[in-house]
Amino acid sequence: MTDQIGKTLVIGGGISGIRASLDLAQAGYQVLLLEQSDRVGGLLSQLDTQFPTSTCGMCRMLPMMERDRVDQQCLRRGLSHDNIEICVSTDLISLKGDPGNFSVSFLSQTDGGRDDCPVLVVDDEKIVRDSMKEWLSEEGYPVQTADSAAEALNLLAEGSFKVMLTDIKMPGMDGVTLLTRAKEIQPDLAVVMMTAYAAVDTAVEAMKQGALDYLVKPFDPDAVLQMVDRIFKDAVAENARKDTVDAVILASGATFFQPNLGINPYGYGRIPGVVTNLEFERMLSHAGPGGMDLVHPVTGRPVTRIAWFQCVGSRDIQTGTPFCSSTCCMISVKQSLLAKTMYPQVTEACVFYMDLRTWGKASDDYARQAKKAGVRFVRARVHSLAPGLKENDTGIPVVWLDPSGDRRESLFDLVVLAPGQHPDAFLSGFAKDQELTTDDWGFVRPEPFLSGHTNRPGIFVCGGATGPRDIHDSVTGASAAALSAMQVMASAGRQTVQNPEKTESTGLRSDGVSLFPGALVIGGGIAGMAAALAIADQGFDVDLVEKTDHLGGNLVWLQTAIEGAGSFLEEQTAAVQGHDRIRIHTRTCVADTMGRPGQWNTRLTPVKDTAENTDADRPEQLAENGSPPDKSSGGKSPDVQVRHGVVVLAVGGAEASPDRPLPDNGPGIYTQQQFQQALDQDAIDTGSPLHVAMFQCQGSREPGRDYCSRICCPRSLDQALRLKAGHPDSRVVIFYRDMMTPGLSESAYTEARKAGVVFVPYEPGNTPELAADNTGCRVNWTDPILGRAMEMAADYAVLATGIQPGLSRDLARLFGADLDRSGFFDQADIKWRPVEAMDPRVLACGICLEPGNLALTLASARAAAAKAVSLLSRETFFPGKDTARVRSAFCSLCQICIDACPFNARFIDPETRTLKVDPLACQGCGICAAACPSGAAVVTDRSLAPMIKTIHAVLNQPL
Amino acid sequence: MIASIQTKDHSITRTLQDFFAGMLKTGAADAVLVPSRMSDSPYVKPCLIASHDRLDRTVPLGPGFFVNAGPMMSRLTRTRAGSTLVAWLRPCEIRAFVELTKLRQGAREEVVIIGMDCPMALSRTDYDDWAGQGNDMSDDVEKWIQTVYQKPVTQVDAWPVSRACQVCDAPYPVNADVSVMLLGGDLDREIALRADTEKGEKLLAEMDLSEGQEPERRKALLADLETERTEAFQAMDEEMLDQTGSIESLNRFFSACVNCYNCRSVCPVCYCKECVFNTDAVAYAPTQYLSWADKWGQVSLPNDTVFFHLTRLAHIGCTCVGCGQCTLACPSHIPVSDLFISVTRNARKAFDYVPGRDDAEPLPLSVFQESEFTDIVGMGNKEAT
Repeated sequence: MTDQIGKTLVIGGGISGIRASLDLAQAGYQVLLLEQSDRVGGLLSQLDTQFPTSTCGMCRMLPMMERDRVDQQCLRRGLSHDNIEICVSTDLISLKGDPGNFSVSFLSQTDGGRDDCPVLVVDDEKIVRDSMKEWLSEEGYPVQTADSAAEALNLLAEGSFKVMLTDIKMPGMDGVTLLTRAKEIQPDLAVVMMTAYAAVDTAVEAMKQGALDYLVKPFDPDAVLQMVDRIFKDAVAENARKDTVDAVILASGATFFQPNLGINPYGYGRIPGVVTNLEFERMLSHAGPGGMDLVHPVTGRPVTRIAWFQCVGSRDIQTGTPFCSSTCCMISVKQSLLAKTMYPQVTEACVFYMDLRTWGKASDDYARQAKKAGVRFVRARVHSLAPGLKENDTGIPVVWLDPSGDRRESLFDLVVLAPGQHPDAFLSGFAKDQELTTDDWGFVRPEPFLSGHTNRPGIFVCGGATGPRDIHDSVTGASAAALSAMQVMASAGRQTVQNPEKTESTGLRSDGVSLFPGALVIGGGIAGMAAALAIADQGFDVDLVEKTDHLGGNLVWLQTAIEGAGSFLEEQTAAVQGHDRIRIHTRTCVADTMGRPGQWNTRLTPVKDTAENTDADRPEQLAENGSPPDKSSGGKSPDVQVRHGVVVLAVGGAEASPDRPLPDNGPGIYTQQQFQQALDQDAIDTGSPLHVAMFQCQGSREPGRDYCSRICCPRSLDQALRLKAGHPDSRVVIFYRDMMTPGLSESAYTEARKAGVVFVPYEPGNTPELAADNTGCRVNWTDPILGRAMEMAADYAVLATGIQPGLSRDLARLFGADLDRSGFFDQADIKWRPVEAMDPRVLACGICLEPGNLALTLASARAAAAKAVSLLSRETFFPGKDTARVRSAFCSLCQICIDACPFNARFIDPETRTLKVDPLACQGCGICAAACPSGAAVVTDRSLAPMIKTIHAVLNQPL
Repeated sequence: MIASIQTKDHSITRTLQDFFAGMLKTGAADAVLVPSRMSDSPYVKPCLIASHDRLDRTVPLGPGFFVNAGPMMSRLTRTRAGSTLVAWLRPCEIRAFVELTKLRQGAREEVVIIGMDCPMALSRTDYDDWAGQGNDMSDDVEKWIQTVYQKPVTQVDAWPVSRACQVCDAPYPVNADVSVMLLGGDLDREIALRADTEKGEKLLAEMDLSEGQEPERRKALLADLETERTEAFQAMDEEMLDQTGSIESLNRFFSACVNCYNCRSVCPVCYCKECVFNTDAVAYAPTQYLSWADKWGQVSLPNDTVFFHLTRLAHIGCTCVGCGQCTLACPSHIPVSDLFISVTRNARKAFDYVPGRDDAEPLPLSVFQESEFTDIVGMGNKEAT
């Protein structure tokens, strides 16, 4: 069995499924990708553009190595890869087994669907017959009904049924007799008895006579459906394909809420100008129904006034969705910005929102761009669109109350609803079958500290199946899940597919570049430790560098604040310390590095003294020409040289220091971290009643640190709830701009409101004033509802200042990476390649990558490890048809291509004195070919000849 | 540091020959590169001279300019030679060499460049005429020198200087180690040299020269030259727009081209080991020619003549140093450099780039900017698509 190639089942072909599949395929494992619909791409292929690029970047998910193995360039149009078997329009029939040995059977919808599974319902009660018929027909089953056993027998004699559901107690022939007679006519008929609770014994008796199962009245529609589905699947299972896989990744995604099914549909389906954001995305697309024009779907008139309604089917108890859908705010920001900038005709673009959830490192800036472009943001929840409203020539009247309670009204041509993400229909059945732990709303609940692990070993989960997710979190989670699957396959002793180019041409090709099979992880916080462990577990050597004298980073002070984190940190630290493939270098920093990417030789040097610790991750001054400083001082150098093929930057970050002037740091003023530590040490004065004022966005989301740190709002809520639990009579006021509780973290916000925490919104420029002296703190603000000056005395004032990344530009640049505008690691693409630099050998995770909580940090660490493992599994990488090549005979070695290449992909091989292309770095952009005058730099299919032909064609004459 | 050489026997040529001989004698230079006649022929070419008694045929200043020494410098400095070379170069030759060093086709570590205020050049036919006027060329050379440095001139006696020189906007040395300041000088008495780099200072110090100063009139003369030449360039620019402003007129402009590639051979910044026009990129199947003939009614052969020049324009759009060699070398008398100077001087404005201005100034094509010329490329402007 050990020579068997590892194989993983991926359920769902949305972006999460694609990402996980590609990661596994690139690492050399086989993937079976099942997708219910007739195409891959999921929800995202219906979105025209994504923020912050305002373009589609889906293709950036395509592999960075051996790119020829996928033969398409646009992921919207499909996916292919040697190692991925893609089955669209396919249903999962059954899944059984354990890690390393799951049996899966699946069936193409073209090979027999529910319409091939006719159902006969027999009951003397009309209401039962009718409702059963309605439920089952809706799911695609052909249903016939009979009001008596006699009629049922007639129908059975005429046609063939797969399933019969029959009542037991009926006038005339009873159900049990019908069962016996029916089986005589059609022995393979699946018969389910329907009975009242009192007659269960009879039903059980009937099963001895050949009934398959029974249902107890009154029925739950879901129970009926599941029963019939099970019979259907068993029946078709004979036709189903069977396979064996080692691991399973559930990426079945989410669906958008359908507004017309809600109690308040905002006229959707009735007023033609009311559309969902997916529909609007099509209208906005130049490839959409209006072409280059933005027109009303019915009248065809140019659209000039557009309103967006947030939280339709999100943050809404009425629709049973108390959670936030995470992505809709940014979709609306994007759509409003694009509408406003692409179509000058749009005079009014207005987003109605409750909290503008611009969480994360790039969103807030994007929203500012929208504001700058003239998009109006109105903090209001429009109650409804007037019932019986007839859309007339003037537009759709929208009425709302402004914060002071005044009624406002405006006319719009279009109202775009932003419906929330809900669990996919497939998910509940799958979760139930596989006994997966789900939350109150039906999303799969991952195991704590194990992002992507379900309660079932070997079954992993990512994307929308775990709750509303944006692209970035989905893609990161998918890579993390891929890593988990790799770990299962590795421990089952599975092999990877041989690198085909290597076997084809052993020793013949000189244009390959190789990778040193080891990793350098910089930063010994939880991100660095998790990445190091995952890489080492796959059999690669790891050097883990930490500037302080201990591992753990921020989790050391957070361990009491997060339930279970203490023992998790202890376990991880012990695992890292005990791992024979991990070398730990504490009180150490990176001095310099030599060698090409992938063949780095990095010098580690001891941190000099504690005073410098804060800057210890900054490399020493490099000597001239990038060569290491002279080390000839007598062999006693405490420095260590480390060779590695990939590098993971996990240097973390810290709580930002408050950057607004504080009143002498009065006794009651704490930063959020200080307050947390005080809480954890029970050092909060409990003299009651306790008054606490919390201030969100202190120096965050403002020029200088213009991003949302994503962690402070949930932390404040946690602290507030803890205070309220310990001191119910305490008064906690949270001054906020937008409560950033995306996804399921919304529940803490709801809980805090219920617990009596007071929330006071403020706008930038109108920040509440905080003063403090020996007697305590005082807060003065203008209440937005009353419009009146307010004052509050507080024992404690807590400032949420957010995260300051700890990555220095020098360190990033040492490996050819860089910082983004906010000081975090500059990702190749914030959405589609979230944990890597343009050079895929340079990875980052944790809070030097982007702000995030422990779960996100662990996800990015595992995603980075997945990328690292994929790369390290291969020895040599060859240029492909999408990377540039060099025709050395024509090359003058002028190196203009080296200078021009934005990806540092070209270099002179010192041995051959020829120019080479690094296939992992080359993006195939063709800039080299444009810069090279002699045609020595070429990119396949982007040669001179077509250009000459084009020129000839344009001129329509010889030159 | 400014030094001065006393002019001997009223011969500037002799004075400079002695100056070079001195370098070779003292060992300040292992070899000098100076334009020289090889025999009685009037034609001069850059010559590498290592012996102090072989300098009598050199013509350091004169109207003969048939090879731009920039690429010769590239041949001499491609790899380290371990010796010191002193090169006597025209400003446009220095510019060419600077561009070539940026393109890693040479290095200036082992060279000391002496640049001079430019004596300008004659076209080949005019040069033949000029050189044939007397028995001894040396008098004519001295006369030439005495004429061109005293005031802005566009012709000497009956001979107009080449068009490229008439419009040259930098007739003075830039990026030299030593600048020879001839304009406005009392050349019968002395020649002023200014050290511009440490290397230049070292050389002048070793030559043990007396102190000198920049000729008083030089700055004013340079200003006058700039004014005149700017006007001359504008006139030529308009002429070119008129003569090549459309595909039809461009075809007419190059109609005499026979694809001899002489312009490419003499171009100092055409540095490719193998020109793309010598590769399969422009090799067509016989059927292709026939189908073109079919489509357009006719194909003149050799084809791709205008296309060749357009390609060269694209390749040297920023690096053209305006030396005029292409015109001098054209057997079909096409004023190639008029067009090239006009187009490239306008094109490089877009990048604020001046060839030869600064060693450290990167070639525009070698700099990657994520967003530039958005009005042209349409990036970031969805409307434009």
